[in-house]
Amino acid sequence: MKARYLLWPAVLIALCALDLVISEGFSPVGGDVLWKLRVPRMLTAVLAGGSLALAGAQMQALFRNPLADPHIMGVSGGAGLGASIAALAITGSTVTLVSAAFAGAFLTGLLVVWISSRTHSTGTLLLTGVMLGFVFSALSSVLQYSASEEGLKLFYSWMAGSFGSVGSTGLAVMGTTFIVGLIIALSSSKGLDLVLFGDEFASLSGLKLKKMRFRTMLGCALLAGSVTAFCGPVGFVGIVAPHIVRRIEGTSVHGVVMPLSPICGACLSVGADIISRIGRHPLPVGSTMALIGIPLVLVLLWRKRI
Amino acid sequence: MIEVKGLELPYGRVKEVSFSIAPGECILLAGPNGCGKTTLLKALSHMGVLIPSGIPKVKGFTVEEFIRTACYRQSDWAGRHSKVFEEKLEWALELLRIKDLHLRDISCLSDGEFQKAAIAAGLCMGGSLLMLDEPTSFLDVDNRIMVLKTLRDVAEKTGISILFSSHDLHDSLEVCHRVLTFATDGTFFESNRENREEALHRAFPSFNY
Repeated sequence: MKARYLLWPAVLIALCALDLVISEGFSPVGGDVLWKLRVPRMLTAVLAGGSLALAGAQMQALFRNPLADPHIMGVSGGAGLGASIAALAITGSTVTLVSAAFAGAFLTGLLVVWISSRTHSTGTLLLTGVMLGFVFSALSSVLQYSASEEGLKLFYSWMAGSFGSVGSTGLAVMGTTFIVGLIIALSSSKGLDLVLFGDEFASLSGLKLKKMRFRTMLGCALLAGSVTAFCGPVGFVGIVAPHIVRRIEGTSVHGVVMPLSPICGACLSVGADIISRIGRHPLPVGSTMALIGIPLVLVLLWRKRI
Repeated sequence: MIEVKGLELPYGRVKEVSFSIAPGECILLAGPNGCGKTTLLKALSHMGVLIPSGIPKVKGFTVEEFIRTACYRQSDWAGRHSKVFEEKLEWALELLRIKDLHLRDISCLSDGEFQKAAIAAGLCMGGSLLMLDEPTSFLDVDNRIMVLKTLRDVAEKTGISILFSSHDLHDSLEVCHRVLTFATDGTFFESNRENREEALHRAFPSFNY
């Protein structure tokens, strides 16, 4: 391990500290605000960014597609569908919405995993994910059309994305899925390296491709499902973070990319959280993330290094 | 000695294949497009190591990292290799004279150099039979001849048997010891060291020698 890698956690810690103290101006915050609002919010941002980046890094390798991320396999679409079903059911409670979104995301993940066990082609799998996403967002539009005003309000505030409304139960769930996802990701690293050189070469070299796909997709569904359920469809971290790591470290070897991507993703989401609170009116963090994320993706694309 | 007797192929114009390969032999597998060369190599892949054609030169892997990745079976869960393996890697890099390239990113290598790295990976994977599917496709003349000479060199120096398919008949004929062909009459022809040209002529009637 190179000592340089320690810079990554150092940057993350600095950003987390900044996230805790920053508000309109730098007025000191009381203990209650710090422990009941700021710390959970920061932890949510760290876990969300980390989970999405982890899922993105695995999916980009698995699909050999630089633009793959949890959204592309329809997980967000599935979560959105779940959320709109909950909004239509008008219970008005966040708990229902979150559980429905999680169920939607996870079931979509399982569906994709099931499909992946029946197809040999990575391209087909990718297309299926995209198609599922479209179908789900179409269905949720249909549902929203007939939802009540109250339900819609709840739904849209979930859609906008937020790190601030996750309670301790939510944090515990996100933390657990992150750890499980991390273990799966790290143990898949060497196989994902091999997948980059083509399915044929990978299986000739001894990789059990279907098993590998199944395990990785299951991990991604868990990670993306929990984040999307609690924080809304937060995009771009999953795509961008692994690219930044590959670019800065100058390597695609997953032994390096896999542990560093979640740290980079956490930096991005904590950064977005800081920016979203700088102004007088707090901005929805999903939108801030997209506004930071899109230019980064474009720069990466235009430089043809992606 | 590797012997294949009455191996049945699922499709292609040749239904049944028999041949043998001695240690240290470098053998050309030839036949028209779609005759079943790749199918045959895949069918044999459990007997040795098969390097498929068209492995992408993924950016962000050095030559060493590529070889370590390719040797998937030899590493532990975190992708770490044993000391013995590292020595073998050194040996393979030196044998193929790509020692000075070992830290180069593979996306910066010429196709010929990358093919050498793939051969090195094949050697590190072990086994007494190394098969390569079209190792010379898309290579220019110089690289083609370099790769082909390397193949013969490796076979003679290590005693590993090499079986490769190619459409570059003239260049391949220069380096290979013997030829296996899918003949036009639906038989599988195994040449000896003398009648290599005849073997090619049976598969490609317009082939001049």
